[in-house]
Amino acid sequence: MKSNTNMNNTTSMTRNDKHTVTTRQLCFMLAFFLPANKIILLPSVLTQYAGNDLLLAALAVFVLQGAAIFALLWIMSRTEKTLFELIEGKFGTWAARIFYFILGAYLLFSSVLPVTEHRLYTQNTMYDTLPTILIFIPFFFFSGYAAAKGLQCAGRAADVSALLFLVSVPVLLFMSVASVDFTALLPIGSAGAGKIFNASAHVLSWCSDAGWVLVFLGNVRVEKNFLCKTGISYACGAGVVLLFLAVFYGIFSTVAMNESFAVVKIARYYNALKTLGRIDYLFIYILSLVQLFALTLPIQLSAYTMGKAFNTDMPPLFSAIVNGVLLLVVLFTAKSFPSLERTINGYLFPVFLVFANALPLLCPLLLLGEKQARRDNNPQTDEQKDKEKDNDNRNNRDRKRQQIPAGGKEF
Amino acid sequence: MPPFFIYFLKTSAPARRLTRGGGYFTGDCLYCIVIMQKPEKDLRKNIQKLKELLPAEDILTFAFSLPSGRECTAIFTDGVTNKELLGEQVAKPLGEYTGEETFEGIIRAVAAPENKEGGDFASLTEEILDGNAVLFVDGFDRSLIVGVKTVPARAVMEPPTDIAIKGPRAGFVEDVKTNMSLLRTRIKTPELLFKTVTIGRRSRTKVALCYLKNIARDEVVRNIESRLKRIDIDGVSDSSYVALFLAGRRHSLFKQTGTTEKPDILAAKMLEGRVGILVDGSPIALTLPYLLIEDFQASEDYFVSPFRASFTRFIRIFSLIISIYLPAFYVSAQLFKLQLLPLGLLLTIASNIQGLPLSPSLEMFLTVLLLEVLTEASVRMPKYVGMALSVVGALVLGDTAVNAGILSTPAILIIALSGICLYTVPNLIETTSLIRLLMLLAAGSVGIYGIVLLTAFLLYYLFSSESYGAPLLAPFSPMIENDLRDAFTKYNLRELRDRPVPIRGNNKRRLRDDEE
Repeated sequence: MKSNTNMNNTTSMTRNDKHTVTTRQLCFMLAFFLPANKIILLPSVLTQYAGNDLLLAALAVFVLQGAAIFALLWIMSRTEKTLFELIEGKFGTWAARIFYFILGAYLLFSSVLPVTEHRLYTQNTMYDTLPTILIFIPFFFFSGYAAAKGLQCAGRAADVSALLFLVSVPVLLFMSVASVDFTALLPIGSAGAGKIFNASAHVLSWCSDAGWVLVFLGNVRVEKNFLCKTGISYACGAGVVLLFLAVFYGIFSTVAMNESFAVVKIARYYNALKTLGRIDYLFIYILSLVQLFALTLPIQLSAYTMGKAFNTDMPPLFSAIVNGVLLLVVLFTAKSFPSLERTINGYLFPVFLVFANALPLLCPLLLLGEKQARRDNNPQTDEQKDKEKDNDNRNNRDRKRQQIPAGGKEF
Repeated sequence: MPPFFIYFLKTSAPARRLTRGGGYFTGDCLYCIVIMQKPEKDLRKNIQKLKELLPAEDILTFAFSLPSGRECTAIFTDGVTNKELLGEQVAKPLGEYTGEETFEGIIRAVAAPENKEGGDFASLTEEILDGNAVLFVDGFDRSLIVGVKTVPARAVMEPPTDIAIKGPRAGFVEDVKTNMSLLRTRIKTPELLFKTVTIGRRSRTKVALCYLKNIARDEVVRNIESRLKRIDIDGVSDSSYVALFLAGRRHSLFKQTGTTEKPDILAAKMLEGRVGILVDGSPIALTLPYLLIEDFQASEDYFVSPFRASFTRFIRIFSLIISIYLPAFYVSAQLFKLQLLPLGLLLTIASNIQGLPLSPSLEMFLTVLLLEVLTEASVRMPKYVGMALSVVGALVLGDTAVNAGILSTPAILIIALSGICLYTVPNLIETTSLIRLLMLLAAGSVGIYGIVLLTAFLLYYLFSSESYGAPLLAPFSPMIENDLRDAFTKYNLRELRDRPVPIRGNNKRRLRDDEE
């Protein structure tokens, strides 16, 4: 009886094109979404705790996060099942639903600090005088609209983000590179292990990307060399952040901890700005689009997982709920960002450790017994499989031969 | 007539067809009875029935007789039927016909190359209204439809909205048959297929679906055809009517069908795998699936060097960005972020806007509205008034408004630049001018963040838009490496080996390079 229910549910959860992204899109997310929001407050916070060893602290978090993400990517390459289906297969539908609800709540929680940070960032970069909080409310309209769309749209946003990121960040780095003194980063390790560890713990909320990668399990079209491509993309994303941190500290050195919104400040000493005006802002605004897309992704995933948890196909409803909650939180914490940041990074960081590190690292255990189950469902011997493969290959070859005219390639 | 027979007629398949597709006789059952009948042997009765069905004054009859004295009558529409041809190809040969007087013999005697045997009165009325003549011969319960249609059409000339410095100049005209022939002269393959559908209860407009078999996707052709057949409207004045029914989204900010006035462009698009739709009475052909990038691709790009083509594409994209964002950024810079402007420019602007009664956003909004009004008026006004209008627009409204201290010079300069830039992509003007206004609104109320948010919103809107399965923003999103060769930049034609991925069917290749 139980297995029947599971089967039915599994069928209803089959892969939907609306919620599928390609390998390339996932790569772009890892390479361009990942660093987009890590170059706002993260550099100054890292400097505050680790001084000139900010790179080591960041590297430690990236390695930890990289292991978690790699575990998830490995699962993606092994199975087409979503996390929901994997949990459902092991523990039943209700367990999967409860877990998805908790995961949705976590994704919502993980968005609180970035959204609040983004509000401060926009106030700083886009206005001369401090505007009212109401200016930020349209963000939730956009976020609500985006969250009501399928994951396919997030993938397409990643495609465009790649172009925007490559137009903006290299130019900003180029403008700032003349003022950099990389010797400020030396001597390496002078801050001590304790401080570096403390800094890493304090920035866990910024480096919790495995949390959203979890939702993409089974929602990615896996291609050839999947692990290699995605792995390199993650390394590139992390590399961009590290390069940015190095440039940032190279410019501001000991006063770096006071320079919040690093991305706005690194290019301001560029000579041409005196005559051209702050043209670096144009590139910052282009980057803002990528940051917006990256910021919306966990919110979108939160609405998606909530929808799955309640087994309903009403994305606008869950999008409205998730964004409504987020709006309330932002309004209530409008004037207390420092305490919010302290609470989340200082006391609630274990939540990120659980969802963005421990859980993804434990996920491969869900695959235990999968192979046996697959074999039980599809009792084909290896010989039969080989035969089928040979037949397929022969058929494909014949079909190709028929299509290609004698004169050469088909057109 | 027994009531059950009337009921049968009402519910039988042909009657239902008449009330839906050919429904100008809807509800009138007796009319249905007449129209479904076939001709009788009595010539006079046939003429009388047709006259009852077509009581209009422009429906004429042309009576003549065979040498044996057997009476013949041709019924046709005045002005649409070529009377000379009717005389030459029908009346004259039949007047001299001395062969066996069977209907087959008469058909053979008629010298018209385009003729077919008629069916019931429904089809006969349709043919007469379409411009063909229907021939009845006394003593035969059959009829002959003779293709002697002539449509007053203008000559094939260069379309005013799609002028090319290099390349073919011929443009479509209003006659669908001429347009089909213009296409056929460019694609001489049996794979070029036309499917004709009649749309409009009263206009009975012919709509031709044209595509290349094995190149266009079958499901797209089927989908378009079924949508065309489902259109139930009284009249179709232009292809834009049809475009509305073919659109995936009912209320869309962006275009959902491609348009062109040139057969060479339509042929090129069809060779990529698109489906063309020609509407009788409209010189504008529709193409589907539609991608946003195709409005940035001019036909000339394919006739000049790839470097020049890439440069002009960059200019088009850059101009469009300028036209949409420049007024909005000017307003938001003035209102919220003065740092954006270099000091020298800031001082110049400050001296110009000193004492202006309007806020920057209101000033810019008014100037944009003024430009829109001038554009609209200059299109509608007769040519000889247009000159006066431009003088009034440029001198009186512009110069005087600045001198009077109502508008500032930078605002007029920015709007003028924006207005000119907008016309580098003429096919997108409807959308871009609207987006420009929205951007201004966002900039004036929320500032630069408003512009960024609105851009993100529009992008997301585009991410979720598809045209018959082809993503509107392809090849940028989803990114298709192969198709990027003909997007921002334009590669050499020899490198454009494959048809665009979101559009093509099974046939992927479009050229074979011997040097490969």
